[in-house]
Amino acid sequence: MWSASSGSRLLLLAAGLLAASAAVLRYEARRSAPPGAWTALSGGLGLGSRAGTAAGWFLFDARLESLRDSALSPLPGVPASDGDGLRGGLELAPFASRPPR
Amino acid sequence: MWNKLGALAALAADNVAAHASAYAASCAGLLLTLAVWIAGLAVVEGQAQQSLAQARAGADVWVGARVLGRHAPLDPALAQQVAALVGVERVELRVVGTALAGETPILIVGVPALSLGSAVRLGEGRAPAVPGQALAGAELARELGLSPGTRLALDGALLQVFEVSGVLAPADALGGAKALLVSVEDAQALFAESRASNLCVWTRPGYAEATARAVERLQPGLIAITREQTATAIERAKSRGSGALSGLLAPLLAMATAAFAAQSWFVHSRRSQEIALYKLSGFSGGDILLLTAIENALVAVLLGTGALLIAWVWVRLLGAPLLAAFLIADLDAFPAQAVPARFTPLPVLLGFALAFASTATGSILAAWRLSLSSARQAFA
Repeated sequence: MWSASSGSRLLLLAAGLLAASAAVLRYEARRSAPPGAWTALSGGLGLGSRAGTAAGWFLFDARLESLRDSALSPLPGVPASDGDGLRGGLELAPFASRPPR
Repeated sequence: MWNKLGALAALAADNVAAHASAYAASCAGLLLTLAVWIAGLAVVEGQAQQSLAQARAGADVWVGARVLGRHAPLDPALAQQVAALVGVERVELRVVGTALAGETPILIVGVPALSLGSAVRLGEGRAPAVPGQALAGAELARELGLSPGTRLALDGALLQVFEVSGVLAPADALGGAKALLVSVEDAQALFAESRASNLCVWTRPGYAEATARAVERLQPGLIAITREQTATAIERAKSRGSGALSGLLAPLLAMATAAFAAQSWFVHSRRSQEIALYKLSGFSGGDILLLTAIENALVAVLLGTGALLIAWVWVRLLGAPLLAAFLIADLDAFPAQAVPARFTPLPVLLGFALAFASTATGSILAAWRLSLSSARQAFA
C-alpha cells in the first residue's frame, strides 16, 4: 500500500487545484448567458475565420489603425471618435443599452 | 496494466515532489506567462461579450456620414426623413465630441435626456434633472476628482459650466468609463452646433437591413451600419486582440520552454542516476519514458490550474491591475472601472497542453537518451 508521502501530498494538491479550477469555470459559466457550445469552447482564442492569418496581418493592421486615428484626431493623443464609423457607435452603445421601448 | 500505471503515477508524484524546488524554479516563467495569457484572453473575451450585449440591446441601425474620408455631422432634418421610412419605429440623435477641461480633453456624449436617467447604472448621485447637469464615467470621475455637486468648466466651441449630478457605477459598460454624458441639447450648445454625430434608428423586426440601405440612398456620404455588421466587427476586433496577445506571448512561452530545458540540464547527473536505478530495477525504456510523461502531465496540471487561479484572482478579485491598461484603451494601470472578463474552458485546456508540451520538450528527449545509456556510465 502506498503510504502518505510527499508524492501523495503533491497528488492531493493537484486534485485540489483541479477542483478549484473546475469550480471557477463553473462559476464563470453561470455568470454569463448560456452561449452555443462552440462559442463557449472557442471563447477568447480568436478561432474565427480570420484566426489563421491573424498572426500575419494584425500588427500591420493595428499600426494602420493607430496611424489613421492619430491623423483623424482633433487633439493630440485623443483617438478620433468616428474612426470607421463603428467606433462612435460602440462608444454610444452603452447609453442605448436599456432604451425605453 | 492499471496496477503498473498506478505505480508509475505514484512514483512520478514522488519524483516531482523530490525535485520540487528545481521544478518550481524552472516552471515559474511558464506559470506567469500562462497566467498572463489566460487573464488577457479572458479580458478580450469579456470586452467583446460586453460590446456584443450592448450592440444587441442598442439601436438596430447606426447612421453616420463620411465626407472626404472623415466623419461628418448630420443635419437634424435627416432624422425626420429617416423616421418617415417604412419599418422605422424610432430615431434618436447622438452628439459625440471632445471638449477641454483645463488642458484635459474629455469625451462628451450627448444623448436624449430621457436616456440619461434610464440607460445607465449610477454609482453615486442621481440622473440629471435640469439642463447643465451631467453624468461622469467612473474613470473620468477618479481622474478629475469629480463627485456629485462638482462643477466643471468645459471648453467646446463655447465655455460652459456643467454640474456633475452623478457618477456611473464602475460596473457599467466600458464605453462610458471616461465620458461625460450630457443631454443632446447641452452638447449642441457646448459645441455651438445644431447638427448631430449619429442617428440611432430602431426598426420593426426584419427591417434593419432594408432600412440601412434605404438610409444610404437618402444622401451621398451616409453610412448605415446594422447590428449584425456591428457584431461582425466586434468579433473581428476580438480575433485581432486575442491574436495579438497570443503572438506577443509566444516568444515568452518559447523562452520558458528553453529555460525548462536548461534547468533540466543542471539536474542531469542526478536524473541519470535515477534512471540508471530504474533500469537496474527492471524498468524498460518505455517504462522510463511513460514515467517521465506522467511527471510532465502532473506538472502541467499544476501549472495549468495554478495559472487559471492566478489569472482569475488577478482579474476578478483585483480588477486586472497592470494588465487592463494594455488591452483596453484609456484605462489606467489600476483602473477604477470594473474590467469585463470571461473565463472559458478552451484557453485553460490549451494552457494544460502548452504546459505539457513545454515541459515534455525539455525532458522527454533527455530521459530517452539517458534510458539508452548504460547504468555504469551514470555512476562513473
